[in-house]
Amino acid sequence: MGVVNENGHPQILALRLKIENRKISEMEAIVARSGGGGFARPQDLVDKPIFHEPLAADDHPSREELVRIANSYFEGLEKATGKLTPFDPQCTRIENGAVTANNPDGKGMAKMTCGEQFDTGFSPFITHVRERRYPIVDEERGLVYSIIFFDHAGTITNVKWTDGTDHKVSPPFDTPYAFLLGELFKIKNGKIMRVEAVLLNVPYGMPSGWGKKE
Amino acid sequence: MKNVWIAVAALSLSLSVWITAAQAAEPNCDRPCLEGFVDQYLAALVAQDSSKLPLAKNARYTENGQELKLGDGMWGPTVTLGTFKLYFADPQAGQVGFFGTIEEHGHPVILGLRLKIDGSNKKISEIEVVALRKTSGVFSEPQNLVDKPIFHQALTPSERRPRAELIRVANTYFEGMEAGTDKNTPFDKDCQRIENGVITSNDPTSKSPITRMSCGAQFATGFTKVITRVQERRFPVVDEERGLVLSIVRFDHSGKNKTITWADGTEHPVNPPFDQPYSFFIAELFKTVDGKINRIEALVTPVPYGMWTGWPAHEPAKKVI
Repeated sequence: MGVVNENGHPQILALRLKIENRKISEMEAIVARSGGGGFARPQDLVDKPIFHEPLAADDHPSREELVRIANSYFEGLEKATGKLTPFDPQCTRIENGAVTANNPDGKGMAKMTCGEQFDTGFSPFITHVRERRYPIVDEERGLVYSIIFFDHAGTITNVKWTDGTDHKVSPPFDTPYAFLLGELFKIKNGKIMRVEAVLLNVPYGMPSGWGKKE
Repeated sequence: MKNVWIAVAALSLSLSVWITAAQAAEPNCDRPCLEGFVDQYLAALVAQDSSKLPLAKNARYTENGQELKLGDGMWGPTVTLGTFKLYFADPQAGQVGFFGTIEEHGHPVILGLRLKIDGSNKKISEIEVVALRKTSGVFSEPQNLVDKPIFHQALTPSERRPRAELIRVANTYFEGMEAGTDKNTPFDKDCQRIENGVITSNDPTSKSPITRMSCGAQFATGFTKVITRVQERRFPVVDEERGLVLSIVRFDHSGKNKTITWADGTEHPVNPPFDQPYSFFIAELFKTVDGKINRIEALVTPVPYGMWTGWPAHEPAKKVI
């Protein structure tokens, strides 16, 4: 993940390469551009040492376990619960440069940690986390790079949180709407500590171009 | 955005021109029959019940280029119909088109719809939707869409042209865009274009000089070179009686050029987002009278750069190099 300039415009790039026989066989780029209706804050992206720090010697989950934990994040979103996902109490999420969980300067939801957000049950309007892939697992550093779609079918206009309060689903999420995301998880001691995501809106139902469309 | 886009609306080199062949099917579903299928479809959409639609066995549905199941996409929210309704019909090809306003959960949407009706059994085999939502990232003014009688007026015999000629004329529009010239395209001097409910050429009230120009005058400037390619051109509905052609295309802006040179030699910056890889999925309806493009009504929505628009069913393989 990095920031690139296209004709002078800063953009956020998430790039995946597959190397076979020391030759590049797959190139998958997700580019979050600020123009054309997208949102991106590349200027806010800074180095976070935690993403390149190796895990402690006694913290060595298998790659299957790392993928399972990453997948539990999407399961929790779909099922609108914090019970399925092992979150670190300080889990922070950054999306396109914006801190959207555990942001001390944020308002409302953004102030909550990842787990607190999931506990509210806010997410039923994300009706499907589709075409989940986990192409990169960095076991040494406890990182999993997932590429997925969030589909919002537009069928839900109101969400009842776990505390019983009603919350209106705001546009565009009450109409057919999808995000393509490259989402990187830092997992330490079996818990999700950091989430760094690059996302952009795409036509609802769009396939990724890799693997089979669901 | 509006002015930028206007300053953009042109195209260059077409890799593949698909002219949907009007199969020599018997026109056993005439205009009222075809329009009846549109009404039936819209009624089912409002009822959120596709079960009674007469669907062919291998019917396909796409929404903004994506293949979906009926029941998904626009079939999810509560839909109500608006007042703007424009039908066009091609009995020879068994195809019918519709532009109209609707609401999804109360949010205004401009709908472009294409249906293909199997002539033999009068079943719907193709459903293609362009949904222009307010959250798409480009301007849209669905409330400005009003009935324009010219789009449903029949041409006089001398004003008519054969379907192949109508398609050729529509295609010259895209050829002219790509080449940045008005020399390829027969424009009526009063040609006006409306995109997403916004008048983007021949608008005498506009403050933008280029928006005040007619289509032909705009093309003559050469500004359309901003659009580097008009790809995946299809012309599925040809309404010969009314001189209408529905084209469905993708405008690609490769982002390679930071400036373009107009026909008068002046340099003009390519403004964002068109100086970055950027595409529009477009349903564009041409009214051609006496062989000249008189009116254009277009629905335009941004999509990922180079996105396959969904028809035919299988995308040809692309080579990386």
